[in-house]
Amino acid sequence: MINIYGLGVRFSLFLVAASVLVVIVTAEFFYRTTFENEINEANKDIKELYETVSATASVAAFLEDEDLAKEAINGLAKSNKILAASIKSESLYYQVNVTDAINQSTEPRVFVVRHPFIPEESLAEVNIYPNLNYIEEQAEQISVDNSFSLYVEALVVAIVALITTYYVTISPMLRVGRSLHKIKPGTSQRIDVPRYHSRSEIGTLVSDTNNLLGKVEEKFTQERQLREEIEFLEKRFRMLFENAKSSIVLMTEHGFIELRNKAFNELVVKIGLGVKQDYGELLEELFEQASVVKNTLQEAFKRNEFATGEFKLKTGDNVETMWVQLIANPLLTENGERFYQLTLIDISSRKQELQKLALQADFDTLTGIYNRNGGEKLIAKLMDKGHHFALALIDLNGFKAVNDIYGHDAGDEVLVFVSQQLKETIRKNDVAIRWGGDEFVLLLQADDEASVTNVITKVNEAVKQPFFFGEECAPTYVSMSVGVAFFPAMTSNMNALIKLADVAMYKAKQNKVSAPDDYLFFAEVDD
Amino acid sequence: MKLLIPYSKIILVLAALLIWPSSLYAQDNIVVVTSQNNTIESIDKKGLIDLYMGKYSAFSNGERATPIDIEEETSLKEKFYKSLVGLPLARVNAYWSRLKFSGRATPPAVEKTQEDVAERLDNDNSALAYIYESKVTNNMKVVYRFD
Repeated sequence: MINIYGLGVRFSLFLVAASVLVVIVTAEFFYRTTFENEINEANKDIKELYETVSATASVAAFLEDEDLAKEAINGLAKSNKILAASIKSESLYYQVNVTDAINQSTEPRVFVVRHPFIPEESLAEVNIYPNLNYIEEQAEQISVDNSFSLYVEALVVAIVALITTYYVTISPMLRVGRSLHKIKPGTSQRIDVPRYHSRSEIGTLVSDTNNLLGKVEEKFTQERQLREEIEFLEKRFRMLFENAKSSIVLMTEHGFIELRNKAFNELVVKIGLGVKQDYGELLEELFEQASVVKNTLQEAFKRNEFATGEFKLKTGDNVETMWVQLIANPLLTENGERFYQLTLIDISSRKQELQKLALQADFDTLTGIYNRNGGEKLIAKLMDKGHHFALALIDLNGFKAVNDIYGHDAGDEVLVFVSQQLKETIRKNDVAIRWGGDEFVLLLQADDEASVTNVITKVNEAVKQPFFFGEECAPTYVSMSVGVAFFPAMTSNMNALIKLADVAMYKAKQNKVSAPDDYLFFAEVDD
Repeated sequence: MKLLIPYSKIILVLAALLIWPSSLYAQDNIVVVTSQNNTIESIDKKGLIDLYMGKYSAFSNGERATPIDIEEETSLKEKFYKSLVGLPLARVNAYWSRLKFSGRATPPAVEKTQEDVAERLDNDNSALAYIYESKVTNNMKVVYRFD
């Protein structure tokens, strides 16, 4: 229970040591003084004792009366302080114990006995031998008693001081210490100022401590608020990162992925790679053109720039094509560590959209076959490569009537039907193009008229078939007029080639009523 | 010149005379006397003390001495002891009452008045007494005189 290193014990030890020291010094001093004092007192007492018998001694000496002399000397000798005494005059001598005194070599005190009626005359001499042993014993006793009472006094003072100190200082300090021990820093708990100590040092200490606690609380509150703000922000950032539709990874220089979001994991699962620690140095495992991606990024990183590009992902056979926009950003931390932030944005749908747009540009939206624009491109391409082919320009007969009688929707149906027939009847390497309105072009892989005639005949057979609109019972028929020109045999210029085919087709058109079977004309080159 | 003495002084002297008529006697010297038949001619003060305070009961010549106190004339007795040993009567009485028991010393014999002393001296040659000088008779021999 008692703390031997505590203030109480420490203070008690100091107090006891100090009081012992003080008492030893003072007791020694007082012992000496008291002793000397007592010896002096005893000498004075002896004189006083003599005074009491001096009258008797005087009369005895005057009358030379031995009885009186005895009375006086015996009276003296009765005192403890006197060892021996004697009276001596011309006619009188009486002594008690003088031999002993002389043996102890005690010096006598000599008193002159005066004449009782003539004071100037001395009659006798009284010798008194003090009992030094007794006197010293007495003095010693008194000194010891004095010292003892001094010790007791010191003890009492020490105890009182100790108790006072305990109640005035140590106890309140202990209480303060205990309540300080119980206090949780950062809370509104404070130490109570001990009663009657509001203006003492302890009170000051307590109020200073309370001020300190107040400051600590303030700091704690600020810290807590800051932490809450950070946590809030972190949560938001996490939400932002985790729920981003884009796949985001943070990785080291060597491709070790430190941080990834849900979208990234979903992406890798989707393309069949599964969740792994790394996908190559720069995620190249994900891409179909891995080396291109890697080179692009490395080039950019070398210049410490960010890189961006659209790349196709390496997908499994059963997964539709996926395109991503890759944004790669090199990061340098304060510690000089290098990180790469890679963001992959799924642009597959946009890509498809674009492809569709491209398709629309080159193909006819209604029929799905090449349009004039696509056709011209194709012709240019074939010409560039030096392919030999025949260009057949087809114009429908009776289409205008259908349009007029049944409306545009019916016309559209006719066009779709014709296109269908064209696609189905031409050979694998031949191409059908809707040239505009009810005009079509066929690019046929052929050098000679016979092969062309062969194909066109089949086409004509198909197009001539009766055609029924919706609920109509009467069939509709369309026929066609065809002009053919050869490349490169007739011309190497596209416009000239088309012009040649157009002129031939016009000739055929002249015959559509008179000779409907003579619908195919080959262009003739002027020599 | 006498006319110049102030009345007050005269009145004071007269008053003093009226109040202490015996003061005239007081100026009377005390003397110590023996019978004319005594061989002692004179005694010194020390010898007188030795006799009156009981140390010796004989004169220096060896003749017996009987010192006498006067019982009834207290002022005389008082004056005598005051002059002799310088002590008041009470002290002298105390001295004697203390010594009476030891028996060694004897206090002086007692006569009532100076007249009795004169009578005693006529018959007793050893007697020694103190009287006022004015009362000295022819039968008396003055052996000591207090100045």
